[in-house]
Amino acid sequence: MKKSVLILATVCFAAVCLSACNLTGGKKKEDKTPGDQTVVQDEYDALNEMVGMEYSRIVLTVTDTFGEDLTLTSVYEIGYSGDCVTIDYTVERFTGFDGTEDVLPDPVTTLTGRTVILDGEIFSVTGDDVGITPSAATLGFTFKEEYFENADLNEVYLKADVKDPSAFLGTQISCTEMKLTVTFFDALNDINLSYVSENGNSVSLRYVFYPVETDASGS
Amino acid sequence: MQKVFNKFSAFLLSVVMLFGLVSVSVPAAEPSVAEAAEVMETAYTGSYYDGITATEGNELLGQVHDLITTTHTKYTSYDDCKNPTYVKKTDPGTGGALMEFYARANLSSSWQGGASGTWNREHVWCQSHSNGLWGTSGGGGDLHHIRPTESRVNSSRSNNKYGEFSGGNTVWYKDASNTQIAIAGYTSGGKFMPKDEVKGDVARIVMYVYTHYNTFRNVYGSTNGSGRSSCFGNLKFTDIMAPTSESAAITLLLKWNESDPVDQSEITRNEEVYKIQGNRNPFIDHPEYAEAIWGDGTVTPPTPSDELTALTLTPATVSVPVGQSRALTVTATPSNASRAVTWETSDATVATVADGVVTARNEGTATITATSAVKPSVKATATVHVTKSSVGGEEGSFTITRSTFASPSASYDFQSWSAGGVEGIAYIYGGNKDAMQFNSSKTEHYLATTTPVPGAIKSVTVKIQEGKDDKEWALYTSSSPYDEMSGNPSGEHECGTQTVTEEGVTWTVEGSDCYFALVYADSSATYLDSIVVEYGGDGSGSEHVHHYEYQSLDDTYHVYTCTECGDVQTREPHEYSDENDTTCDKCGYERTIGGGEGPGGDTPDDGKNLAAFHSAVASIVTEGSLPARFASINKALEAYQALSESEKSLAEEDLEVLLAEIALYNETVRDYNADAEQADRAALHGGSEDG
Repeated sequence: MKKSVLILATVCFAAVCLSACNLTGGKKKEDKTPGDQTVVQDEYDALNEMVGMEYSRIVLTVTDTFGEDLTLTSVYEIGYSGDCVTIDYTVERFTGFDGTEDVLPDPVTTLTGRTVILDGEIFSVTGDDVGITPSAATLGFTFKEEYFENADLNEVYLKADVKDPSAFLGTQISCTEMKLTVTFFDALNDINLSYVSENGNSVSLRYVFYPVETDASGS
Repeated sequence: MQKVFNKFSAFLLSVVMLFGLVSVSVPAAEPSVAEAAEVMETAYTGSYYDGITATEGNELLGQVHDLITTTHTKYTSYDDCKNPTYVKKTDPGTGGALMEFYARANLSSSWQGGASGTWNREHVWCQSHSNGLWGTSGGGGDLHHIRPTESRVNSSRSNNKYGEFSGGNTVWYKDASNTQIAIAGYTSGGKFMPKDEVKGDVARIVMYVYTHYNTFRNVYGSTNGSGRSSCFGNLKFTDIMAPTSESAAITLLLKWNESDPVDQSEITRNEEVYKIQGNRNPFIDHPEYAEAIWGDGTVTPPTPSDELTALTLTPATVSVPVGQSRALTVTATPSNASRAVTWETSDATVATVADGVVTARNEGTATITATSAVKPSVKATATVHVTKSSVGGEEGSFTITRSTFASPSASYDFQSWSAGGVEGIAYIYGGNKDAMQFNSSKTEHYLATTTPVPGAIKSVTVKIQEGKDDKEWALYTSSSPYDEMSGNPSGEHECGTQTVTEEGVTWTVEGSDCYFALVYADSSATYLDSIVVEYGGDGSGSEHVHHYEYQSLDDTYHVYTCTECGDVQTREPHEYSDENDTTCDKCGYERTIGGGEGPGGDTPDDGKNLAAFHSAVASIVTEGSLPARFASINKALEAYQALSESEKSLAEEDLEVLLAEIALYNETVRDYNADAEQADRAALHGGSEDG
């Protein structure tokens, strides 16, 4: 009787321990078989697949902070329709003086416009031209384990320090302290990046992904 | 068991009852595809689309775009869209009223712009969502696009995008006394939903605007896999439709196009606008084009007629006096071949052409060419000799009677009339049918021409109705049409005031004018029986004498032009004596030079301005907060610009300091902007070596 009770208690205790692990959710580094890098890369590959999925639009907000409370914010709304990519933008830049000409109304100038990219070429630019190039039509994130450190990855989010920003973004960038947060489920929800620029300014990038709609109501 | 059975049967009964109630409240099913196909059948049978050979997708869209833009020969203005001459043809209600676009009810024809119960112009595709492509011209003056709406309905719609939703707030069309007349639509969450019988109208206007004013590339032969057109312009449907994806916006438009088919009012309107502008809304003539371009449908090109071998224009040679128009007729060989053509003129300063109608502008000779739309190698030409407006005019006469006004309104209002090929307007009281009654309360009543009389006006004879009092009328003639909506049209030439009687009185007209207005200023009623206009020849022997005047075009140029016939002698820049001279030596145009106290600095130098500038320069913030640096430099600039020329010569040292601070500030701005540009570039161009 006592033996059976002891066995039962042990089984129950083990079950509780296992349950506790599941309640905290997701895979943990400590759950992985040591040295089993393939499993982690599979998870990053799932993110790479999500990068390559079709989205109706992506809204990108770039905030550049100078000093304590001075910011420039640019918002790019990238819409996809067939082989056509439309980028609507509102871009802030500081205004420079032109000799002793007109007194300026505002230290910040807002540029607005639309650039259409078709078949890999700039098709049209209306409003202010901010120099968008055709490569803006394609996302370039690449998720590889060696690009990150201190990564925390589960089924719904990834948090990490990006130790190779250029490789991750797929473009040359000079910065330090890049941090990444990605939320996702079946597709990407958003990607948030922050870093310190070469000049010591704080920069944040936020990408919000919108799935392709099937509902025509517009609500 | 019995209890269980009873409970079960009760349950079944309740379910049946529930579904019965639900089925009663379910709205009528939308038409099936077959039914929709029936109501979507092609309504137009003319030759306008004979040149369309594509069956679907981008190719069809491109051909339709080319067709409606190349045939759009008269671009009406935003002001034209409130001209009763046009609007009463394009949007007629009953009894002389207009048709309110969203409410589909009679709208008072009183134009007040913004007052309740009156109408104004609605951009179906709002200016604010046009990506800067139109305001009050181009697409913003296109009669296919701009519709009359009641002022408060227009305000309620605001610049909300079109969407579909349940519930929402009802937008009522109310008259001036705030009485609800008809539902105009619904609003909810920043969206506007037209009522069901207007959804298709909206969809077909949106598709027309998108097709016409987008920036398309020639992608003939290119389709997007399934044959649907892909977006390739700087307008998106999501700019005006509420769905956030282009595909969902297209789905909604196609749904509305189908659920609210083309009706007779749209067909009639399309014809009227075609007469004015020269182009048509293809989605009214061929609603099936929408599915073929953006959906899963295809269209069958028109059955090819026998191959065109030649075109002929009749007349081949024509003389047209300045300011008048002539229509050219196209004949095809063989006779059943397409007569669809595009028109061009060799010299638009001499004569213009729209849809085969030639309008004479200035003396000279021009060649009008008609090019086959189906076989561009086949052309025909006609020679137009534009003559002085007084020579070569047609001779004839026409009469305006009570029966000329077919649809009198029950109030004082503008009414259109047409007699002898001449069109005009009259501000009269139509309450008595067939009365041709005029009487003035606060403004003069008048009857005027809006299209030219075919020849110089020689005489105008007016009779009072039998048994009615004699009344005074004044006659004015002009070389320009009267299209004013309010006030009294004033002519270039006053022909005098006469007392009109039952026997009739006649004004004899000299000169070459081909427009006239009869004006009545008395407050008591007058009843006209007839107006007989005789025209033609050389206008009693008088040749046109140019009356040239300088007119300023803008800050840079003026023109020397005849104020009567528009003959332009010269176009040249303003002439000023020196850099400080503000008055053009030729046209008198006054320009503004700089600001402050005037050129040359003639303000007494009391030192205050200099001191203020010196102080402002000394106070410039040199480091730290960019906004603080900006504000301090701005203040110094303001102080500098307040200096006179002589004071500026005394402030050179401070100016050097200011310029140095500006340079430093600009350097900081460049660095900051470079940082921001790099951040944007990296964010956008990730993944490409181009970034």
